[in-house]
Amino acid sequence: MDFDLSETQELIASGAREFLAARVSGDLVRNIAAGTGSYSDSWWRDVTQLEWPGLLVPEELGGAGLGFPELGALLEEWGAVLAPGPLLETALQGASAINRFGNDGQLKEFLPPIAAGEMIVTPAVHEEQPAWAHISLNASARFINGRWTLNGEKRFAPFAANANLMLVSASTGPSADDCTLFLVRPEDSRGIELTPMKTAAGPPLSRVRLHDVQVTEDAVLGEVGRGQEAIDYLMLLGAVGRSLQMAGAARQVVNMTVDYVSNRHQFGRPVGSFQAVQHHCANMAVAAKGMALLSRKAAWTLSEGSNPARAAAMAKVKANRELPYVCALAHQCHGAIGFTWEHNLHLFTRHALHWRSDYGDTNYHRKKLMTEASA
Amino acid sequence: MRFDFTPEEQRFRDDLASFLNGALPPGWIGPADESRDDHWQLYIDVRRGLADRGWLTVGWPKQYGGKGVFPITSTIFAEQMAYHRAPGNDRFGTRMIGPTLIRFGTEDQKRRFLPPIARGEVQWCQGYSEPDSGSDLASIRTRAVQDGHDFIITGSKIWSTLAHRADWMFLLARTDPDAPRHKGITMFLCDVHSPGVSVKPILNMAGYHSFNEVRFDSVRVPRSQVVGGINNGWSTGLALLNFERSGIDYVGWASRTLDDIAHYARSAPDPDSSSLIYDPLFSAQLVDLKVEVESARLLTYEAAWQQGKGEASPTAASISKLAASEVNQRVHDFAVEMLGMYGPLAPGSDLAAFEGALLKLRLFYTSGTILAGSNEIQRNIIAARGLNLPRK
Ligand SMILES: Cc1cc2nc3c(=O)[nH]c(=O)nc-3n(C[C@H](O)[C@H](O)[C@H](O)COP(=O)(O)OP(=O)(O)OC[C@H]3O[C@@H](n4cnc5c(N)ncnc54)[C@H](O)[C@@H]3O)c2cc1C
Repeated sequence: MDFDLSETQELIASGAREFLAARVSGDLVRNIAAGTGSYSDSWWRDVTQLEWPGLLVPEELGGAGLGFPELGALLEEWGAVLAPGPLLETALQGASAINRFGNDGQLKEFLPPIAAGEMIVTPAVHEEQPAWAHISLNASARFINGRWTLNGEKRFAPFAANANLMLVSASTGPSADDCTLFLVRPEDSRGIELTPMKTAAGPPLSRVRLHDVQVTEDAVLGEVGRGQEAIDYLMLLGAVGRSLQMAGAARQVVNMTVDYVSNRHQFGRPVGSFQAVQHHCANMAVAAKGMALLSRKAAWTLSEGSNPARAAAMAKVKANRELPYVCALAHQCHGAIGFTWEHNLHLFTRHALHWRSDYGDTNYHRKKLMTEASA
Repeated sequence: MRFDFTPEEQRFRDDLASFLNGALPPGWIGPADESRDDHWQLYIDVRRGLADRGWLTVGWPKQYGGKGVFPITSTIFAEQMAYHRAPGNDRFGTRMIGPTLIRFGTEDQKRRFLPPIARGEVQWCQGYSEPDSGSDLASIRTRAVQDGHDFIITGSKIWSTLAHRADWMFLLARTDPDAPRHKGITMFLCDVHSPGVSVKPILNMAGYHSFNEVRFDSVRVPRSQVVGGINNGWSTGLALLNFERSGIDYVGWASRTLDDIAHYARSAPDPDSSSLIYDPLFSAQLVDLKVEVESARLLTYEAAWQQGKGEASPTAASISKLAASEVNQRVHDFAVEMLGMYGPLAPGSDLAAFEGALLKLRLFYTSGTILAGSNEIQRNIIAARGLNLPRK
């Protein structure tokens, strides 16, 4: 075992810390959550200059050819500042799913622009029920005259308003498992209608209505009728990516709190000198550390280990349970000042509530682990 | 031993519930945002309706506009109000300054200030905290200097809930800067519309305006508006806090939300069962919370019962507040979680479950463990005074 970050991972993390500290403010996070932020203008453009979207893209296709732990080191920092951009969706889910399930033509068509930062990807896979719940899809795709025609409604598509590539799941046969994942370019397709869903925080989400959206045969990612595998992979990547972001956020909340209680004085001493407050901080720190290790292990397992689904479930259960707890203790230590809109602490709480609900809620991942434990 | 309500108590509870069902708009799921004019009007209407029936101050002695009933009835009142998420429960007037005046006020003060509270005509607010004085209340720096028959108040109060809607504020100010910290403080009643008072809104983390910063710039307050004696404000002020401190509101809020989500779960789909309510993981969490809410509820009623007998233990109120504020947070956190991806959708989103109310409550109740004496302070009290643990 070796718990150190590699030199590359360390480089990525420290570079990210520096860049993100300068570029991401509480106001940016607030504005994008409120739907008033124009992140696509300057902030995300500058991110794309850093080659982050192509970290996982093979070198011969214009990327950095790195592995999940390297992108993971970045996602932790990304989460620590609640950076509001489609990194998880594009660099992790988009790039890896296309790399794994795409044919040669698709790899050449989509991975270079992802690596160049010209393409923003969004998974449009949830419906009334989330994709990980394996409930049969209402959105359908029919093959007529050599083209697929998509109809139906997807929900909770992150950053969809800015995406130029959507991964859309649709049912392609009578059985519940019979679904297919399509690569849809909204710019070239008519009949896509987006409605923003107002969120408490986290990525801006949209409802995506598909009205006779036509795509060619080349738009099928993987095989027709075998989409569930690709959807499961997107969910797995999402769970690992979120856990990493949540671990980063927890670490940041611990730092903010330790800083605050060291400086806030009551009864003539720093409130951080009271044991009650110290114990809160210690509990937070232990939780954050555990989250970091479990989520790093999950990222490593995706690259090199076996049973990534199990490692991901553990990381997400841990993150889902601990981040809201860490935030609650932080609120407790901050007192009334942390209860204000102006203070950034509640942004972490709000993200925690959103993040624990996507890519598998706690009971979903618990059940996966229960099934395994009883097998 | 008996764990049910008397027939009169039960009747009161039912009457109050049916009044509230009529007084609140159909389908009301709350919470009220008193900075909105329509919600504030509702607050005023409900408060008046309660007062007309003698319920607003049901626990006060008869001569001051109450019914002189045992505190259990006041607890039933607060629980029902919270259960309905009803605005109009004027805690600052009816539960804080009212009982304080009944105990420490002059006859003139009682005659002047109590009847308007009982009639539901005025709104009070609290001016204790300052930017540098939260848990350490005795460190307040707002000054009050005597000038003939008046005091002149200068300083800054913060976190004053409803100050933007209030007519009056009770506040603590330093009248003797040279005395030991606890001995130079006085409680005043101040007309919020006096010259020199300015109220500035602070937005809370749930996204609305519930509390304020209140500045006093040479505000004149007559000596007749001192409560409990000059330089005696520490003990008067603490007594007021003990009237305030109860977990009952949290118990009401938590029970309501548990009922809401159980109802929701009966029709919510579940990947593994016919509906979410039959999902053993979900229902195990639900019943755990029900047990904790019932436990907090009994702790709270026991505290009120002891108080009614005049033999309240020094820690009963702390225990009730501690248990209830914490389970209330757990309930609302669970509620948002069980709504899945719909839980964190904001009010105003057409797909938000419960119109986003549970999210708003989840965020708002973050404050329950901080205000009215933080839960760390309550634990200190329970450990030191309840359990007599050694101090050194
Ligand atoms: C929603 C809301 C409404 C409010 N409404 C009002 C109002 O209407 N009027 C009013 O006057 N005030 C009001 N308050 C203020 C409230 O009374 C204070 O927030 C509370 O007293 C705590 O003070 P603080 O926020 O400054 O936290 P601090 O006192 O700065 O506490 C920070 C942390 O240190 C801990 N701590 C402090 N001292 C000790 C100790 N001795 N031992 C162990 N731990 C300690 C605290 O528990 C907390 O965790 C309101 C607050 C909120 C959040």
